[in-house]
Amino acid sequence: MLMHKSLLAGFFTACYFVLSAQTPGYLGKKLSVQAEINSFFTRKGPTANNNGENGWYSDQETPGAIGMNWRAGLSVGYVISRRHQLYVSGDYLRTGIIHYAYAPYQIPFSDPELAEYSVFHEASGYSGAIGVRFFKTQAGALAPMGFYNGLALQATRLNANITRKALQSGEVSATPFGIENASALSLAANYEIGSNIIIRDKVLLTLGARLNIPLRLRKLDLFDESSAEVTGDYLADNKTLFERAAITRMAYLSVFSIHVGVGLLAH
Amino acid sequence: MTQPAFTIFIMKTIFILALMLGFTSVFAQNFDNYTPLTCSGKIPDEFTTPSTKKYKSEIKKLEKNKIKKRERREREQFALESSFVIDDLLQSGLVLFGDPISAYLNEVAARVVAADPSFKKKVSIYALRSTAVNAFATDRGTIFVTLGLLAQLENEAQLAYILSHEMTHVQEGHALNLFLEAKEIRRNADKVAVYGKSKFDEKLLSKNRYSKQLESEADNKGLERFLRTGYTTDDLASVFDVLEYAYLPFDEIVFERNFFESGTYHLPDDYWLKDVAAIGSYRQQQDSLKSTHPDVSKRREEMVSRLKQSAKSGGTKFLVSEERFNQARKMARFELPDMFLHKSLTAEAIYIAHLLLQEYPDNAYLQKCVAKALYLQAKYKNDRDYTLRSSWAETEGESQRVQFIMDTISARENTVLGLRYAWQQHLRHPDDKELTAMTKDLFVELGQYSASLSDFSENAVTAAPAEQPEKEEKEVKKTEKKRSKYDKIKETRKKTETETNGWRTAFEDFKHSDDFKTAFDEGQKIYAKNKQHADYLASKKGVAETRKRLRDISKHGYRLGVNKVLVVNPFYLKLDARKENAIQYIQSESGQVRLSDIIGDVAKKAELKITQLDVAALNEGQADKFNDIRVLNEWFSEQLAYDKLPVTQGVNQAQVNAVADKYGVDHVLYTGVISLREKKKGAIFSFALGVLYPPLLPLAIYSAARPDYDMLYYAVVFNVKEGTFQTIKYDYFNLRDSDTLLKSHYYDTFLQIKAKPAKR
Repeated sequence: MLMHKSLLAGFFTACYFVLSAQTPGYLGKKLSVQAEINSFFTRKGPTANNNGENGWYSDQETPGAIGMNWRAGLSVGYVISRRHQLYVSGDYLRTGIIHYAYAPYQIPFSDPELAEYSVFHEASGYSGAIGVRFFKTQAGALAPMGFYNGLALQATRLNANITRKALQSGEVSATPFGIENASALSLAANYEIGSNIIIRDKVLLTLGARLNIPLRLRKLDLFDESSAEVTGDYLADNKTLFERAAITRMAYLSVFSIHVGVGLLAH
Repeated sequence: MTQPAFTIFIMKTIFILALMLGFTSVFAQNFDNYTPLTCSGKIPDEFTTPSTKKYKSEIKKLEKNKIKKRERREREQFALESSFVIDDLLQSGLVLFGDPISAYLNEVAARVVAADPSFKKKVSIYALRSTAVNAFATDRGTIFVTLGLLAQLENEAQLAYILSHEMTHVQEGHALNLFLEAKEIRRNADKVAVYGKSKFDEKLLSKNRYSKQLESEADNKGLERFLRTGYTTDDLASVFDVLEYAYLPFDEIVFERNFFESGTYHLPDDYWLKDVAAIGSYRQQQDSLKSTHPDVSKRREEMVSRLKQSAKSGGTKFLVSEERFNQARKMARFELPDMFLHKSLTAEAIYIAHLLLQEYPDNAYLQKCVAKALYLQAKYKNDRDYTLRSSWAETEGESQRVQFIMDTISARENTVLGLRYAWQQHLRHPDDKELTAMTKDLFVELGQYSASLSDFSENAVTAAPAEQPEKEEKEVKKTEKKRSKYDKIKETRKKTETETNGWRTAFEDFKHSDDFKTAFDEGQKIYAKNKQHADYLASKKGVAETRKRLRDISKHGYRLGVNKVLVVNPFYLKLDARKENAIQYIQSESGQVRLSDIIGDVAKKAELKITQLDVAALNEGQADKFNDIRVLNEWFSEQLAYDKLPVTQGVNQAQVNAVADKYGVDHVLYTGVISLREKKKGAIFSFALGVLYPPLLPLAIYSAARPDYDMLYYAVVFNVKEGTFQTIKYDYFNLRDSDTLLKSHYYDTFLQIKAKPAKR
């Protein structure tokens, strides 16, 4: 609901600017298309390709290592006034998620017990964002060129597959976790500072840094991704744990990212 | 002789021949209908040849010399700086070419170097539009003689001596020697000052001592050269009188009160100085130690002594022609009022015009100069934001009377006097648009003092609006204690001003004419409308509207609705604060070409019609455009001096309008860029931050490696016919002036110029 309202507000704001403002663009060119890469560094935690030297990730195995998650995609920007550029972007991303999961195992002559596993997901997904960049005209910028601050709303759908699991307690279980092909939706507002550089009147190069603020705070636990209360309904618990781990992972790893884009001033 | 040199020689010869053939017609200036001097014929090469080319040519010459590395470096620096500084002057519009005065100066110069034809090729003489009494030479052989100097001279022999003196500077390479010596003095002073601060004065004095040596050498060798000419040495020493009294006008004629008075109008006694200061009574005693020239009396004595030793006798005061000298000098004198007006020196302009009006009492040009001076002074006085500096006490001779009037006259009396004078001229020259516009504006100015023509009667008792509103008695008592002695003196002076009422009888001669009544009523209407508008803007509603307008401008930019502009001399300057000589001359010149190209390209994209006028881009056949640039530049510098003063008529408004009409525009764009590279600050801090927090490392490296640039960009659009302007951009950015940045801003500027104003 919040997202819907924000999107509508953004849309109407954009319409207001388009209709009322004088828009020079860059030599009249207002539309730009860019290929983008966002890299989000991490000093710990799994990435899509880093789940540990021995086939399993742990802090001890890669002490101080800097992992890198990334997302890449396209963005389309449109100058709506001398100071504003509206943009939409779509990304593909990959990362790794690790959390505890439970599966029942049978002990003869007694009730089933829950085995506790560490599970590793290779996750990938798509994200979409809509945002506005505010160009600092007092610092010499004129949209789409120069220094800017940006605000955007971003939605990411992560799809994850369990590729490894390790028994932590209990006995080996053959029962599925119920999250073998799970997905989670992450929402974030992001604040960006950056600079658009135009090369030879055509090529638009963007360098920026983004701060992502997660919006689904109730699903978030930055300090212990597996601290969800276990209810005993292992399927529901696993889903909760996965969702929390996925959203936290996204928030934790993309809280700060470096952004590079290269593209053309199309029209 | 090489092929290019030969071509230049031929071209110069043709040029000089053309001048010689042409001067008789050009020279026949009709002083009854005087028109200010302009350049004509072909633009000399040295005006349009890029400074970089000249600099490189100097460098090539240096390569042939075997000199020490340091001296070579300093000579290169001199070549660089002198090439660009001289070219700046040549392209400023202040230097005349193809005009009768420059032609005459060159002819006299030819007589001076008749015995040395090879040297003759090295020098070229130009008249310089300046009121200063001066002549100076550059190392590359260009000699400038100011019109102010020519106006003061008594005969051709004096001019010949001055040229001889300047030629010595050229021949001996004095400018270079002084530059090298200044460097040496600085180096030595720095060495001495290792354990303490060297005093600026000491360096200056050392430099001036050397400069005086060079001047003495120029005096002596110049005299030797002069003695080889056919000019007489009789009264030659009086050339130093010209220098000694250079601060006075070219003549001393009693300024009569009736210059402003006629019919029933009498200039109030308060504004009339009964006795004037004697010549020499105030003259500022210059600290001769700090002067670059030796004391004038010593120079005179030295010359007299040398003349006694010389065996020279005979000769004439005029080798070219006495008539030509008188004509050239008269032209120089006629130019003075106009030049003084451009500097807002109104009293000087009036006094010079008064001197010339003795011989040409009905000269329309001179009368208009007086009208302009009174008009301009009234505008300054009526504007509460301006405080004019009083200088009558520092003036000597008859011109002091005029200076006293202009300094002490009240704003109302000045407005009335200006209108009266301008109206008289308007009646004589009803078709003169400048006079019409001036009178119209003065009628509007009059609105703040008089609401009815009935005020203008000796017996009038109507309460014409006072210049300062009277305060309530209580308020006066209350503030009395707070006022200082100086406030009270000022108050007394103010009262005296308001009590003088010469203005009441100023319009007796024409106040009953229908034209005058109509013009008066029209002025009242415009004044009332302006006042109403000003009151509205000061009201709450007006303030709110102003805020709304400013918000609108911030969002949309200005919307002038102008389809065509004239872009005059786009300005580009490159500075590098990391270097000892911050001005990057070569990059500045190439940057100027780049800027012109960008402006041209972007205007096409923005579909704004522009015509660019740039001296550097002119070819030899475009002297008319050179004149146009001069007229517009003069107008522009005048407007800068007026600042916010709403002067609708420039000093040469008719010329400005003619130039605007020629290019089919009302609007002129003055624009430029100053780019500065600074010393890098904070690089270590950025890098340290990146090391402490690795995710920031790429940004930290970028920040540490990125050079620090600053850039000033301005674009001001003037409506030259209405005297209004709009500053579209005056921005200071911490950015490098990349092509794309400039294009982006010029595109925005041009859109703002072109965009249709919003409907209200």
